[in-house]
Amino acid sequence: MRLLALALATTFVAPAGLPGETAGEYAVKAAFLFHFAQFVEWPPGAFKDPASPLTYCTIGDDPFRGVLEESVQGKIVGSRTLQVQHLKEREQIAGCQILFIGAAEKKHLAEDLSVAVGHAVLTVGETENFAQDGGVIGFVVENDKVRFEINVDTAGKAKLRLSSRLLLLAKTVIGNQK
Amino acid sequence: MTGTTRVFKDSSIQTELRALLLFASIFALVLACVGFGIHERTNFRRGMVRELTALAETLGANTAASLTFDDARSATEMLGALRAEQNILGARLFNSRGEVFAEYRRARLPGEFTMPALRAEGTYFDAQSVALFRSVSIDNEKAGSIAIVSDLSGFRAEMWQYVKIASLVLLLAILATYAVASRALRAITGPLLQLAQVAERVSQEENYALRAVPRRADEVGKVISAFNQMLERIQHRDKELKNWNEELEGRVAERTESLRREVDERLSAQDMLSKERRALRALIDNVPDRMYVKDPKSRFVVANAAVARDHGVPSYEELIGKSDFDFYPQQIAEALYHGEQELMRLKQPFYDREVPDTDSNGNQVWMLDTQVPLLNSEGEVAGLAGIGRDITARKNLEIAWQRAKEAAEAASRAKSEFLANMSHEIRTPLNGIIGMTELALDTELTSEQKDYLETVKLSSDALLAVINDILDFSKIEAGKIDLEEVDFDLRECLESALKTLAVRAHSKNLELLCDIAPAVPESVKGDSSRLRQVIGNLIGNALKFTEEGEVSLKVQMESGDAERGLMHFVVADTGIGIPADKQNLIFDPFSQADASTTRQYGGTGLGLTITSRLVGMMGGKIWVESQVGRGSQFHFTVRFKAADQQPRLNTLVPPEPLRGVRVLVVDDNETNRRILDNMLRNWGMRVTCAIGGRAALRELAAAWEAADPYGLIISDVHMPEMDGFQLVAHIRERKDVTSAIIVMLSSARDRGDAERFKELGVAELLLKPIRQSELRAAIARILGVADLQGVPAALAAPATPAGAAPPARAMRILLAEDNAVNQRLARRLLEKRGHQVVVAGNGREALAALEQDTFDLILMDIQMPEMDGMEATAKIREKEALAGGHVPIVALTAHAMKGDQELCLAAGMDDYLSKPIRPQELDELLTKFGRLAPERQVAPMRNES
Repeated sequence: MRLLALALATTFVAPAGLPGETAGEYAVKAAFLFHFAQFVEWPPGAFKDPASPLTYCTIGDDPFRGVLEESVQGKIVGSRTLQVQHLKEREQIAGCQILFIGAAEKKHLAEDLSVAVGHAVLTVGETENFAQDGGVIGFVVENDKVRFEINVDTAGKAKLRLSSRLLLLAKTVIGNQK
Repeated sequence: MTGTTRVFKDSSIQTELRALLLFASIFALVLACVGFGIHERTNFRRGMVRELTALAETLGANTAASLTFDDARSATEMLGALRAEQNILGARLFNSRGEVFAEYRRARLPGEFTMPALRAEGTYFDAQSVALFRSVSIDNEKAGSIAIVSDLSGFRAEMWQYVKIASLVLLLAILATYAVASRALRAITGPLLQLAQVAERVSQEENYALRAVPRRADEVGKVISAFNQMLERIQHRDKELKNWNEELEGRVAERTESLRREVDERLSAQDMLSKERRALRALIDNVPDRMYVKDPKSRFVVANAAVARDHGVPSYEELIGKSDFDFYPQQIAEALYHGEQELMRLKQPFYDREVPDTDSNGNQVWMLDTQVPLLNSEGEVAGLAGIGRDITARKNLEIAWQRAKEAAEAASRAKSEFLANMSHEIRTPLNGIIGMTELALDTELTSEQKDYLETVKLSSDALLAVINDILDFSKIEAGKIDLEEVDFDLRECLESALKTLAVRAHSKNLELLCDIAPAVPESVKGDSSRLRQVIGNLIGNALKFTEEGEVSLKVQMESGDAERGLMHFVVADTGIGIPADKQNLIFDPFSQADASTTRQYGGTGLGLTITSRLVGMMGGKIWVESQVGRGSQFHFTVRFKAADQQPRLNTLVPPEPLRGVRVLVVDDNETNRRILDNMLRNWGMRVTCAIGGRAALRELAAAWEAADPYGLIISDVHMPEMDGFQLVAHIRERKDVTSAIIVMLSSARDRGDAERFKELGVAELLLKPIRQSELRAAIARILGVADLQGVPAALAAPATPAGAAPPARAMRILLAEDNAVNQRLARRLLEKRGHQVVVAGNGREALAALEQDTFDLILMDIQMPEMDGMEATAKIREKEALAGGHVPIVALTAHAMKGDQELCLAAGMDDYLSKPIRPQELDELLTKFGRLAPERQVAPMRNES
């Protein structure tokens, strides 16, 4: 039991030197972002070719401040390398597979989502009701734990298939699960 | 394995095999079970692992997202699904950092169960549980690990099930195997057991006649048949062994017995040995002689008390190891030592050596020493033994004896000389007396003169006899008599002996008979004159002591050995006999049966003594059987050597014409009749005897009437009732009765008898005792049969007194004799016989005579002056050796002593006559040499011409 507690504790303290909880929160989210890729399938046209990398994008202010790069650095998901782009223009969203919309981007959220709709982009946000509002996965921090809500309709519209296992882990699943 | 083997060895094969089978099947089954068990286990485990792995995979996959998104709750939920599996004890989900993320625990857990800690991927079995660790990964990236722990109860249950089944199977299998094995084995072990039983019985009962039951020819069957064969052999061997055993036992018993006996013997021998030892020690210590044994270095090994005494030491023990050097001065000791060493070296003993010595007082002593070398079993010298005896006394005796002997010998020599002289001195004058007396008797004498002279002759004859006896006896006693060994005719010798006595017998009216057995050989080698002397003495005695009846001489062979025949003579008479107590004495000198006998019968008493000595010298014995008043039989035996020649072998062969002829023997004397009967029967004649004239006449008549008349009548002259003359007269009167030839036998030859019988037509008158050859020759003559060869003309002429018939041929004789009387005597005798005599007084004269004339015979006296007979003879023979010729020389010797005869013959004499000269002997001699002399006319002598 002690061990368990200790293990849990270290999970949270994991990245060394990260200041406060906030830093830790984004580390976790970054990790989640990486792992989402493992549980998601993009349609064939999402990539130019089989060798093209899987792109993570942030838009607007980058809350991760390089942690995202750290968490995807050198890793491979489904034989694709991973890269991170920090978009300044909304129009670039089409080139991303995973888009993270930070809380700072709340004002522009609808526009972002509308751009993403026509493309197979996994939109992940942290704002409240993100998933209800048309995002696919929305982070929810609950009891100091990072949870997420998944909108399967949005996912369907984006032609993304999400693993049931992921769905199982979601705090909430919005939409119809077939 | 050895332990097991020992155990198995002692138990039966059946058990063994059964055990083996069981063991084999159990082993196999167990192996199988174990194999299968392991297989099951492995399978089970693998199954379990697969299950768990599947489970883990599933759960892992399911919880991967939870791990990724750090959703412990969902993970735990999912893990909770394991509840469904009863066996799962618990599960844990570890994150990538190895921390426990989620876990599940079964409701009921065993006490000591703990949740697993993270380990490497794999399956970990322990006693109670199995834990499976697998990695959980997303997209080939390890998200964490999952561990599931399941208990093994299922496994155990299965295994237990398996074991139960397997055990059951095993048990069943064992029982089955046991049963089957037992059954099957019996088939094999049955016969083996039976075999074993038989073998046991055989051993126990020692009965080798038993056999095992044979069966089919498998391995066991072979064993059985081999077994039976073996038993066969064993049985056989057993029998043999038993026999051997018995024999051995017997031998052992024997051996033991003999060993025991041996031991007993040994012990007793030892006992005896020590007794002997003591006895020997006692012996040698008590013997006065020195006795000792020395070693090869002449040191004493054994010595007796005497030696100790002589050496002046208190006991013999002091001598042991010492030698002469310790007791004698150096020189003497050296000499003794050297002598002993030589003796031992040469192994040369000496016995009874007389050694002079001086004793401590300086007196001469004599020791009789003997020393012998002692040899060990290999023949090497081991020392010497010696005996020494003090013989001083004996030696002195010896010396004295030697002197006495020399004195005696001197005396004996003196005696012999005396005898020789006496013989000569006595005989010579006596010879003269007798001779002259005889000569005188031949001349014309008045009856008174004749009477006187006859008395003188008788006296001198008697004296001569006495002197001869005495001289003879002396010679015999002096041992100076030798017996001749010359071939002579036995019957002739006896005949002549008897004939000289026949007259005496006749004058006393005694029958004188002679019966010589046919087996008695004709010729023998011996001394005829001595035999004659013996016979003469015995017969003479018999005649002397017999008044009426007969005196007979019987000769036969004793003890079948004809080579050196023992001849048995018996002179028997019907005289006065000899009392038993005197029968031994009569052979002693000078004794007679009766002192009075000397006076009544005369005699020196030496006759029998001389006779017995002579018989002894002739190798025989003499003894007498006698009864007073009935008569005596004097027996003596003589052993004659076989004569070199045996002439006249056919004395016993009867003339053929006599065979079957009837002969009538007439004689009143039974012995005589018997003798004649034997003789005539031997010739194959048919003999009838008549005891007197009358019986004879009856016999003759009977025979005549039976037409089987007698061819020959032999009759005695002197018979009672009817004497020979009367008988013949009667026969002649009745001539019709017989025409037989008549032969008369008379014991005396009276001149007139012969003529009377001739007138009566008697064919022959023969003198008794009659010899076979004589009788046969006479009969042959009568019957006109030629005489058988070799049979001499019967010596019908008896011994006659002086005045003999003229000799066959006249000889020229040289007489060499110094004594005048003897000269005259001899000359007269010779001239009476018609010979020419030349006399020489000594040897020289004799030689001279020979120069001048030749002679047919020389009579040479031995003792003559100037040149004695020996010398003369030698000279004559020398001359003859050169010039040739050989004149017989006869010695005239008065001695007739031992060696004289040999001397005479050696000197070249041909014969000898002893003085006084007996005419009869002279006649014999003259006859002998007369035959050799050439027929001649007595020519006048040269010195006369």
